Amino acid sequence: MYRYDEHDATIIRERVAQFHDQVARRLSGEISENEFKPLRLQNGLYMQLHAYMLRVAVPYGWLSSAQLHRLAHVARTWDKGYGHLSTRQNVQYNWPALEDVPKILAALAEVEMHAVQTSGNCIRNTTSDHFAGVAREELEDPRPYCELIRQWSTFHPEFAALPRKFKIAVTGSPRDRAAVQIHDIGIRIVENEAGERGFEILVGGGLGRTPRIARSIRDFLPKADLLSYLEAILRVYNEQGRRDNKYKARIKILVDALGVDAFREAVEAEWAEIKDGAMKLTDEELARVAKHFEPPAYESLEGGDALLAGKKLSPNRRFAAWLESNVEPHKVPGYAAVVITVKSPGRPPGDITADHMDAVAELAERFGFGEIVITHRQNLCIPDVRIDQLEALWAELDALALGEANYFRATDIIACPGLDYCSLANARSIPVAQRLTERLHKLERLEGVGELTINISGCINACGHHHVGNIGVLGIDKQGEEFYQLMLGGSSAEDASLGKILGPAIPSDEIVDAVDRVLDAYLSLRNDGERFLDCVRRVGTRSFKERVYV
Amino acid sequence: MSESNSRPSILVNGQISEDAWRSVDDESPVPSEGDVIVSLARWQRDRPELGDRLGRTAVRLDPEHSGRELADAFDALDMIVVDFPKFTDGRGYTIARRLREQLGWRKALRAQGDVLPDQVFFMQRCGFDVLALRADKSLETAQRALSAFSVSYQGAADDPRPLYRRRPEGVVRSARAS
Amino acid sequence: MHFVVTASATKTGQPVYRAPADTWTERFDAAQSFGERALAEAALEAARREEAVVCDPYLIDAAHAEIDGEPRLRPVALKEQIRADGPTVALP
Ligand code: SF4
Repeated sequence: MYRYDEHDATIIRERVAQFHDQVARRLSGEISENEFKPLRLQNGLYMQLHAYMLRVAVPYGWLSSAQLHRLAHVARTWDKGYGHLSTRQNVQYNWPALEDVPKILAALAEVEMHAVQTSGNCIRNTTSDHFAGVAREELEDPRPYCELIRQWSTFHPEFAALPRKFKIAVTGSPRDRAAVQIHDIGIRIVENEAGERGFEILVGGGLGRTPRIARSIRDFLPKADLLSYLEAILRVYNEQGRRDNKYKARIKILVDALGVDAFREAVEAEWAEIKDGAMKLTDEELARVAKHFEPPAYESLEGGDALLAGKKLSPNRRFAAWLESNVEPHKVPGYAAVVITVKSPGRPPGDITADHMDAVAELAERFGFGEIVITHRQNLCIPDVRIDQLEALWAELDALALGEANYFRATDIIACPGLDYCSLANARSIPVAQRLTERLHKLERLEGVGELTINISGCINACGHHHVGNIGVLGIDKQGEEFYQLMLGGSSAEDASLGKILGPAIPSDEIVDAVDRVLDAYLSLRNDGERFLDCVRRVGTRSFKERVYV
Repeated sequence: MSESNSRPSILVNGQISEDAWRSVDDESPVPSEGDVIVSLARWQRDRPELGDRLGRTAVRLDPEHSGRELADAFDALDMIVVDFPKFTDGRGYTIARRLREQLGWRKALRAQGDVLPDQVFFMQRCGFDVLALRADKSLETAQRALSAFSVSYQGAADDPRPLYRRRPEGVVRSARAS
Repeated sequence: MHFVVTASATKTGQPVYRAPADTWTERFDAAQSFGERALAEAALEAARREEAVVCDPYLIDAAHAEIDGEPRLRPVALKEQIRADGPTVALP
C-alpha cells in the first residue's frame, strides 16, 4: 500500500497544526460557528444530534494493521470505544469533543492518516473496489490512480469552495464493486482497440433527491491525461454548477441542464487549454506510485480452486455457508479474499468496537499481509488469505462473533445513522436494520434467498443508498410518525439501476413483515437460480405489490 | 463616494499595507486622480473616459464573470479585482487561475469581499497578490495563514508544476536532512 | 404549547438547553420553558449572542406529558426526544 514520503508527511503535519489553530480560534470566539463550519467540515467534523462526528479518511478503503490498531486506540481514548464504517470506505466517530479533535488528528498523522476533505463542498475521499489488486477478473489495479487523484485533490486551491460535495470512484474491474455509476465522476480502467490501457470517464451519477445514473463523456482517456481531464471537469462544474439552491447544486443537475453533449463540449474546450501543460502525468510518477502497490510476497501454492471447492463440502454448515458467501476467488492460485461482515443480530450495521478492530488487525497480520480493506457495504476485508488457512481463520472469527455468513445476503444491510444520530433525518434506520436482521438472520432463510442487498436511509439524502438497494427502504415522517417507503430493483453494480417505489409508505411496526413478504413473493416468483434482482426485473414490481400489500 | 470604501489596510504580497484604492459605483463621477476600482459594466460603458485619468484604474469582476471579458484590456488596466460576495462561493478561484495561467495577466490581482484568513492560502496559490480582508478580520491571522503549508501537490498560479515535476531527488534529500 | 431554547455546546457538541439566569444545562428537565412565543424569541436572541459557547441556537416545541404518574415537560418532536435522551439503540 501507499507509504508517505517526506512531502506527504509534511502536508499532513502542517494540516494538524492548521486545524489546531482553527479550533483554538473557534473556542476563543475569534471565528463564528458560521465561519468555522466549512473549516471543520473540510476536516470531516460534523455536528450531529448528540455530539460532533469525526469522519476519518481511509483512502480507497485501504488500511495497514497498524492503522487499524490506531483507529481502535482513538475509539478507546477519545470516543466511546467504537467506530462506524461508512459506505464511502471511511471510519466515523460519533462522540469526540472539539478540543480533542486536534489530538486525534495528531495521533492519526503518526500512522499516515488524516480527516482531510472527508466532508464539505470539496473533492472527497476517492473510493474504489475493495478487491482491488486481487480480483480475478480485474483488468488493472485501480489503487495507483486513486492515490494520484488523492494527491491532486488534497488542498486543491481552486476547488475548496465548490457548489456542493464532489465524489469520485475508480474501478479496474468489469465487475463494479465501487458503485462508480452513482458518483459525480466514475472512472473505469478500460482497454482500447490498440490494446492500450486508459480510462472511461462517467459523470453526473448520484443519489439524494434527484437520483441519476452517471453518463459516459469519454470512452477512452490516455493515462497521462487523467488529472488534467479531471481538472477540466471540476473547473466547468465550479464555474457553472448552481449555487442558488443546494438541492440543485450537484454536478448531475448541471449535466441534466446542459445536456450531456454540451457538458462534454465544455469540458473538452477547457481541457484543450491545459492537456499538454504541466499536469500531464510523467512515466516516472506513474511508476513511482504504482510501485507502492506491487503484489506482496505470495507463496506458490497447489490446489487453488479445487481445494476451495472441497472445503465447501465441509460438514460444518456455517463454515461452508461462509465460504460460499464471504470468500472471493483470487488472482493468485491458493489464495482467497475474505470479507468479514460486522453485521449480526443486535448490532448497528457498520459499527465496530475497538476490541474487534484490534482483533481483525491481528488476524490480518497472521493470516494475510497485514492489510485490511473497508468495503462499500460497510464491512472489512482481508484481501490475501491462503485457502488452506481459511478454516483456521473462520474459527477465530467465529469465536469473535465475526464469522457471520452474510456478505451480500439479506442481513448485510447498509443503513445510514438515521434519526438516532443525524440531525437531518426523518426516521430511524438502525432499529429497522436490527429488527430486519433479527427476523432474517437464520441460515436457512439467508441461503434460501441468496444474493440480496437491503439499503436503508433515514431521509431523502440517501446516505444509505436506498435507491440502489435490491430492496430500498426510505424513512419518511408522516405527521410525527415514522413511515417507510419500499423500493425494489435497485443496483449499484455494473448493471446499475434505480429502484421503483412499490406502493404507499408503511408504518414502522409493519415494515419488517412487509420485507418478509417481499422475500416470500420472490421465492414463489423466481425461476431456477434466478437472483432477486433479476426476478424483480423480469416480473416487474406489480407482481410483488399484489403479494406485499395484502 | 462613500466612506466604507476606505479600508485602512490590506495584504500586498503578504505585507500589511495601506489601501490606496477606492471603489466608485456605476453612477458617481470618477475622480480624475487617485486609484479607483470600477465595475466591469462601468468599464465597458466608460472605457475611453476611464483610460484618460491620471490615477490608476482597476476593474472588478463578479463571480459570474470568467476573466475573458478583460482579455483585450490588459494594457489599460493596473489591477483586476475579483469580488467574493460569500466566502463559500469559489468561482473567484477559477477566475484568478484563468487570468494568471491562461490569459497571462501579470499585474496586481486583488481579492475582496468576504475574504477570510482561512481562504488566503488558496487565494495566493490561485494568483491573488492583493488581499483585502473583510473589515473585521485579523490581518495578522491572515498573514500567518499564508504559510500554512510549505508543500503543495498541485501546480497552480504560483508554480504551474505539480509536485511530481518538482520532485528532484535533491529536494527530497534536503527535506529529509532538516 | 411551550418553547425551549436549545443549541449544541461548542466544546462537546452535546445538546444544551437554556436555563434560568442565562445559563445552559445539559438536562432537558432543567431547561427554562416559555409559554409565550415572543418571550422565547427574546431568549433565543440573547442566546445567539453567546456563539463562542454554543452553536446554532433554535427553538423547540415542548409539552407536558405524564411520565411515571407525574406531568413532565417533554420535547414534542421525536428528533428532539432522541436528542434529549440519547440514541434509541444500544451502543456497540
Ligand atoms: S440519509 Fe438522511 S438521515 Fe440518513 S445519514 Fe443521510 S442525511 Fe442523515
